[in-house]
Amino acid sequence: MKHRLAVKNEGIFIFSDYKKPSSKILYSLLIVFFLIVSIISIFPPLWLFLSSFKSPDLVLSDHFKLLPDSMDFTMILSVWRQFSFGKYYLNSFLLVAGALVASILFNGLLAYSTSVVKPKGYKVIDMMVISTLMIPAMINISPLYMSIISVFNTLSSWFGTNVWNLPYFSYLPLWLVYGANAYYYVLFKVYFSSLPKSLFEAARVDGANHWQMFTKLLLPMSMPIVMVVAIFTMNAAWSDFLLPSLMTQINQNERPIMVKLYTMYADQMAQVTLQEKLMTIMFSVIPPIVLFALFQKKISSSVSTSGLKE
Amino acid sequence: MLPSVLLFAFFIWVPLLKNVYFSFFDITNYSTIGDFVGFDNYRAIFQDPTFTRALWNTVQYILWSLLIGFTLPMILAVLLNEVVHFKGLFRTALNIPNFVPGIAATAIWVYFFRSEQNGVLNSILANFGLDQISWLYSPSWSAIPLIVLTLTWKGAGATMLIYLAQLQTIDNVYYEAARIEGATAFQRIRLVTMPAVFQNIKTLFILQVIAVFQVFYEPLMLTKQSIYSVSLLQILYKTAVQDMEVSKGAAMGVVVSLLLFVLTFLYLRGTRSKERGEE
Repeated sequence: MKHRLAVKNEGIFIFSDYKKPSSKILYSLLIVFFLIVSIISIFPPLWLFLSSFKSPDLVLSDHFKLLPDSMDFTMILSVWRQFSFGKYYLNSFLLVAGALVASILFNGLLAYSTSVVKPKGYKVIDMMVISTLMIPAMINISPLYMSIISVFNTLSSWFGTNVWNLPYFSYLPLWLVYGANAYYYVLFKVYFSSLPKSLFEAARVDGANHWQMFTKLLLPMSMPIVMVVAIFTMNAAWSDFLLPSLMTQINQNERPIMVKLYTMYADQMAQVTLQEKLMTIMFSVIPPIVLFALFQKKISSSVSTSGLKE
Repeated sequence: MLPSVLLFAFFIWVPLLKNVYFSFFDITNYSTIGDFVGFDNYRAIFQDPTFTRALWNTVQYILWSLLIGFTLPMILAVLLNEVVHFKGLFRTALNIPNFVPGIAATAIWVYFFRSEQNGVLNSILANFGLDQISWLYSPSWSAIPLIVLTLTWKGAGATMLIYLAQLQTIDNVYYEAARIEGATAFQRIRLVTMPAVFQNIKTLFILQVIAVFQVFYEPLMLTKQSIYSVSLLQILYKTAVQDMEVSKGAAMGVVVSLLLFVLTFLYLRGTRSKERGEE
């Protein structure tokens, strides 16, 4: 412990401050404080994970016991099969994948046009997009839902078939809504504006069209910000439940896991066992945590550079 | 560019305008638009005690979240910046809750805050020989601060990282100078640390307020329709989607949008100087 403190020469306190015994005690308290905060941060998900090994009466009992009596993974597997979580996972992954494509493509293209191409009137568009930065999607939910219904009805009469019945057709608006996100747009725009203009001029002289410029030049050059938007979109699409729950009212087989979780708690009539509830929570938590574990460094730095939280 | 603009139009601008349009009509289902009723819907929602209660609750949410959610990340960042042991480990641990999806996190809290003896927190208290507590229900004002606490649990780590990044850009020369001048530790924080993160504080202050407006499923899952913690979006959702009172919901949407537009405007004014520097 002395070792590392001896070279601390930055910040509010430096090594010389720690020569006094009182500051040494303070520093130890600081470490203890952060240990406690870390435990508080990890405890709820840890409890969830361990609880899924317990029998229901042990999960909620009058005396608290964190560790289960045994770690039986076969039980989790049987619950997985019993409630066909595979289906919900597939739906969720499908939702995330489509959202990812729409988010990078459409927000990126819009940012490309306002920061590089700059056609007539781009400032008005830019202002209109940014002014909606803080409007929660929820406020628009019923007029949006009505628009979707009328578009779907029009399409149905065009194609002569009820589009609501087509498999995963209702996912189209769920994907495309991620292509209209003011925050991702701003992230792209700030990054694109910082790139050297001469590059685009060179590419244009070489005869590249807009699509080539965007996919072959701009996106590869902007990998850091593409990663940031990708991580934010994956997290948001995975957690999304409101519009998905409305769009899957007819085809309940197409529900993503988060809608299943939401309806279990929002619908007071639902007959669900504690075990099914806990498993659903746990399965909905695992993928984003794995994502976090894989990209931990990138995420930490992205949060800092983007200057906003999602 | 055109397809993207169309998406923004379909998913954001048109619904916003439709909200304004619908709010002047009488609509009680998802397919037909009724008569023009002027400001009747607005009159109705402001006479609705649950809506005015939700407005007042929002004020309380904001105050509590400024007290807890806004200050805590700042304190954590300043303190963690001084830590040299296990720093990476602490950073990771504090950022984990941010990746637990919101509904899943809230669902966990449902079990933690159970008021019965077998709730997780109550059973922990029982292990220490302490009495059970009703957490979210008594005293009646306790629901909002506890809900804010769960939001803080999720968001504090990520916000802390933003401050931490800013703290690391502070040139050590300033601390040395302050030290030579004989500044105490407290003065060093006030005169060197605070001015450096002031821009972040301004931005995150507004973001925090705006984020609180979006509280929805947290009170819905934790306290159901309890009037002590019901939020604006909760009422809006119930009115517009569950009860299909589209026009009343639209009027509520317009009120909330207006409040948020003002706040967004303030936020953009606060960050404009920063954005210009980047361009």
